[in-house]
Order: sequence, then C-alpha cells, then structure tokens
Amino acid sequence: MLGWEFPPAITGGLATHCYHLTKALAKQNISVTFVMTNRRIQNKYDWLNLVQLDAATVLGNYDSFFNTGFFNEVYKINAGIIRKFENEHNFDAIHCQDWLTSIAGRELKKKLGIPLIMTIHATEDDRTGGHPWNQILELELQACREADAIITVSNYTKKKLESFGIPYYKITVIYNSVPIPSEEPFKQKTNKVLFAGRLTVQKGVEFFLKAAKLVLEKKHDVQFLIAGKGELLPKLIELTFDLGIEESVSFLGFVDQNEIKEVYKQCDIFVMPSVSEPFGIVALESMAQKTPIIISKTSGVAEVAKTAIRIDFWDTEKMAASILSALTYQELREEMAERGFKELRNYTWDDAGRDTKKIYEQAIGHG
Amino acid sequence: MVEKTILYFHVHQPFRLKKRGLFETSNNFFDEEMNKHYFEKATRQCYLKANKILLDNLNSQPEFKFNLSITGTFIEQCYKYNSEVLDSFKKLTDTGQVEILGETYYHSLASLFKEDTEFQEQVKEHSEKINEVFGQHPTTFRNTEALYNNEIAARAKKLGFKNIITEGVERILGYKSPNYLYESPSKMKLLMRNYPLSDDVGYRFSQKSWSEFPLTTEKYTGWIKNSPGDVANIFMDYETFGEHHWEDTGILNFLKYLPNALKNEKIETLKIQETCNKIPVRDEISVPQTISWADMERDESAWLGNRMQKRIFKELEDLAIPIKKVNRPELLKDYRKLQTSDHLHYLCTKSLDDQDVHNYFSPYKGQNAYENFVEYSVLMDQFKEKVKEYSQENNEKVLV
Repeated sequence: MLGWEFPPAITGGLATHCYHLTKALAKQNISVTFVMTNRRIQNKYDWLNLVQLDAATVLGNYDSFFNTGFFNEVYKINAGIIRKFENEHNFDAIHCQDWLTSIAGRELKKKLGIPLIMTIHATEDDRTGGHPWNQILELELQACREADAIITVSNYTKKKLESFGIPYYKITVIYNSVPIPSEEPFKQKTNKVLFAGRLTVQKGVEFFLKAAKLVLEKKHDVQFLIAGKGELLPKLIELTFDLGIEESVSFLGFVDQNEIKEVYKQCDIFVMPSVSEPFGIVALESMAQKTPIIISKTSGVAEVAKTAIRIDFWDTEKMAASILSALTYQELREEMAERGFKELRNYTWDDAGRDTKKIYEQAIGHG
Repeated sequence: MVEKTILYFHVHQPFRLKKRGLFETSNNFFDEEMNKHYFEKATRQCYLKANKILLDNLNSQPEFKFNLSITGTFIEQCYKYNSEVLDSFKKLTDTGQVEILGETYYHSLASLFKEDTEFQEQVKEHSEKINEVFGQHPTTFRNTEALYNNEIAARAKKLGFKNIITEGVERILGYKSPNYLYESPSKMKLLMRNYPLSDDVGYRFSQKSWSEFPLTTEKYTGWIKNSPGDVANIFMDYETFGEHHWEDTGILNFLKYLPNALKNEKIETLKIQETCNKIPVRDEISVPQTISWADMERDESAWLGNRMQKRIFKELEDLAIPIKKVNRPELLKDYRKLQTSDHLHYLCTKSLDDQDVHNYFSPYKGQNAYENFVEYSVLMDQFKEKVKEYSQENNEKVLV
C-alpha cells in the first residue's frame, strides 16, 4: 500500500484512514507493506510492514504543497518508490492512497504485472474549491484511468470522478469509520460549540463564525472552539473582531488525536459547515464521543450519518437555529447522542476491511 | 358468523408548521402554501372522487350506512381552500345514512393533559362545529388516533358521549375477539377495531408481495362473513381511498363495489349509535395503560416515544392555562393548531420500519426528526415569547 503519512505523523484524515484500514485488512489475513513518504516516525506496528523512504524527508509537510519545486519533489519520491520495488515480485496488488504516490503505482503496475487499486479520498477539485491545479488533476485522473479498481469514501466523491469521465463501474464507495469507544463517554453541559478541521476555504469556517454571531445575539454564555490550523487563521481571527465575537471564540491550534477526543467530549455540539467535504470523519469521531453533529449537506458523511442535523453550509441562520436548539433543549442533545453512538455500529472498519478485501480479490482474479 | 359491520372513515388535515426564521416576529406559525398544496392533492386524489362514489352508493342502496369523523382543522381548510369539498361531505350526511363522530377539534393529544379543561373545550368546539355544519350531535367519541384508556373514556362520558371507539389491541383483549360490543369501567359502550380486517384494506391492499394480493370485494366480504362475533369494526383513514393507495391500485373501485358485495353476503352496514342500541354488551374491558391504533406498539409512543416529543408535549401542556389569561382568541386558536398530533408524529425516531411510515407521511420532505425538532423548537420559543409579550400588555392594562 502506497501512502503518504501514518500516525503519529498526521496532517489530515489520510493517516488515520490508513491506520484503521491496514489493521482491518490484517484481520482479513491480508499482509500489507505500507510505504510512507512523509515524516519519519519511530513507532512500530505489528500488523504491517512499514517502509519509510528517505526521499520523503526533503519534502517536509503538507504546507509545502504550493512551494516552487514541489513537483520535482513528488517525482523524486515516486522514483524512489519505483526503484525500491521494481524487482520485488512477491506482491499481489498495489493500493495507492490518493494521487501523490500514483506515478509509482502506475509504473509498478506495468513493471510487476499486478493490478492497481486507487483510493480517492478527495479530488483536486474538492481540495481547491473548484479551482484545481491542472497538473495534479491530470495525475489524479490518469491514475484513475489506469487503475483496475477505484475506491471512494463517499458517493459525493464517486460522482465527482464520474463527472471527469471515470467510468462508474470501476468505482466502489467504502465509507470511513471510527473505532467505537469501549466505554460510553459521559457528557456534561458546557455551552461549548466545536469546529474541528483545517482552516481552509473548503471547510467553511467563516460560516461557523457568522452563525456564532447569530447564536450570541440570542444567548450570551456560549463558547465557540476552533480546533485546527491552516492558511485562513489570520483572516478568521480578524473576522471574529469584525463580528465583535472575539471573546466568545477560542482558537485551539492543532490538536492531536488523543486530545481531540477530550475536546469533542467537552463540547455540547459539533459543527462541520464544509463547502466541500469528500467525507468528514471528524463528524463520526464526534458521534463516538456522544457529541451531536450539525453537518453540511455537501459532505460525504451526510450520506451515511442518520443521527445528524443537516444544513446548507451557507445557511448560517439555520446553523445558528440548530446550535441554539441543541444548546437549549437537552432532549435533542440526549436523543442525538444516544442514537448517534449506537448508529456507529452500523459501519465499522471491520466492514470496510472486508469490502476492501473483496475489491482486491476481484482485481487479482482470485481469493 | 358476523352479520353486521361498522365502516368508519377518519378525515383529517393538519395545519403544517411554518419554517420560521431565527429572528422572525410575525404572527404566522403555519405554512399556508404547503397546506394548500397537500389539501389540494388529497382533494384531487381522494375526497372528491371517494365522496362521489360513496354518494352513489348511498343513493342506490338506502340500507348502506357508514360513519365518519371529520376534524375541525379539516373543516377550516375546506373553508380556506375549497368549500366544494365540504359540500360534498354534506351531501353524504344529508342522506341520513352517515353518522359523524365527536373528537377534539384540533386532532390533539389534549386527552393526555393532566388538567381536563383544554380537552373539554376542544371537544365541545368540535361538537358545535359538527352541529353547525352537518346538523348532527355526535354521541360516539373517537379520540385522536384512537388513543384510549379508562380515564379518557370517563372524560368523554362526562362530556355526554355514549359510545367510544379504540383499537382492538391483543394485549388488552387477550382471548376475547374485537367483534363484540364491550363497555368501559365508566359504562361507556366500547367498540374495538378489528385491525387485521382494517389493515387488509388500509395497509396491505396495494402490496404486491402480500399473499392475498389482489384483494377483491368478494374475497374481503367473505373474510368478514367468516369472522366469529356480532360486528366487524373496520376503521381507517379516509385518505386510504386514493391517497395512501393511488387510484391505479383499484382502491376506488374496491370502495365502489364493497356495499354490493356486503349485501350479497348479507352483511348489514350500520351506524355506530344504532349498533350500540341493537347488540348486547358482552363484557367490561379495562384499559389502564394508553393504547392507540398506531405503529406496532399500538400505544402513545408514535407521539410521545422519545424525549424530544415529550418535551414539546410538556411545553404545550404548560401553556394551557397561561394562554387563556392573555385573552387573544387568534393566539389561542394557533396554540390549539400547534397541538395537532401530526406535529409530534414527525419527531418520531423509532425503529427503521416505523420510521419509514413516519417519513412517508411527513410533509417536510427530506428532513429527519432532529431537523424537524429544530424547526418546532424555534417556533415554540417564539410562540412562548408572544404569549409572554401579550400577557405583559394585559397586566399593564390592568394596572392602568
């Protein structure tokens, strides 16, 4: 499996996805060699063979995406992967996570004569809010054209790919999951409302702040927490001052995987106002801590999560009304918390592992 | 062998709630456009067509009789959107072959309020309206969605009703058959719905996977005839005919040929009051816990099953006394329209099967119970605000 990052090296949802998926695949007796190309990590995982490529270290983290010379680095990494595996004939399939390592995936498919499976977590179109970088988009689509099977994390993303001419019959939707806590979290009312995610245009953070303004007009003792970092941070801070709500908004910065659980738990309600969201695993993570979710209709998770209040990301008034209702009526919070927690059992990583195995089998042509 | 049957159809339309803006202060709590849309749809698909069929049946068979309940909110919508619909119901009752039942004007759950006044007022308002429009004084009571317990029977009796209907719930009936006349501990004559026979038409008629599909009037009347007991109580929503089952399923033809098929089997169709005069009371039935004709549970859980529903219900119940102190008739009217049980029904979060039924009948397409709750809670907060505002105004007047 060609990936990008692996916990604890996390910049987005990809690392968590790979962590749980490889674990679930191991339960299906699939032996995975996972290639990571981002930061180096010291951790050992007993269910997979972790290969860390040195070429990656020069690339730094996600933030260097738009630096000049970025593509040179991507090509270097891919060349490194190809060199490492071009003579290893003991693999049955290659599984690429997103486009970054897809050049190597395509090349190794040819050299080793084995099928290529692509998982598309987000299209370039989503990441850029409809202004794709053509070079990346082309790499992404070329990988999908050459892939024997494609997995998307939502129907939303599947349709996106279809709109770029990728045939529907190659694409299977396998939704993300979250591990269910062994103990049911205990909730206490805090009057805190949470946003968690990268601070970029497509996450819709400004709509969250505009809704916060409306909520505060009706109810004063509410705190709005923003967990995450990103390019919009200065602008968002400025916006809180423009709206006059700076005292009611806290920017938490980047919060790691363990701490974020506590943050979910401590909030009465979680809001995901994404303009464009291929999946939105944060919403399920929140449900796992029994924190009810208000999510954008334009998100992959809105296709699966039934215990959710769904809104249009631009409808800040409805967003505010939903937040207020949840803060005012514990009956709504309690019903959603309990139902949501139970609902998570309907889609587990074990199911995702089984479904992924089936796709491997079909691509390889045997079990 | 059953030789008598009571056919009873329930006619109702709620005033659907308006999606209110968070800062809205208007006095409009109901979505006129949406109401008009659904009223016109039901009129086109069901009311006018089914009424015409039944009128022909009544005219061609003077011994054919049936029973109707018509809510106050429905009558108001007739005035608002199409008075022709009300006229077509009047033509049915003018034959003298149709009995109209009493109920709460607003199809509400006021019968479950601890304090009895609100319920009494709504029932009286309904009886007066029925008398004004149809010239009948209802003597049989049907509570909203057949919600029933000993206390409700006693409350209805206090209002002068002689008979009451509810669901033939197995856990209440035990080995007894619903096909007899019973009485409540308060000595109200009690008729219990034969739900298998009722649901054969109400639910299963258009189900192609049903082993008895397609249902003919001959087959159906044969089943009635072969049931043991004194009387088969076949109760259902009137919208069954053309709306719940569309015309192309043959449901309207079924209605058209049913009286004749019953006649061929020598089954007498009756009005409820005359039935209760004619046949003997077989036993007393006590119902301490509330039952109804809804969902698999056949209790109040379709409207009061979760915390959100109970909260809204409590908000409504708590307003019953303050609202009368403000002395604003139009606000009182709105308060009562907010009590219509349909609004609580759309907050239901039951198992998937029932949830489907709840969603299917929800006018707020594509919204789930939580989203509906948000809308209702916004409206409720604003409504309470109005009540507060007006009562302050009143107090000031008193002080001056």
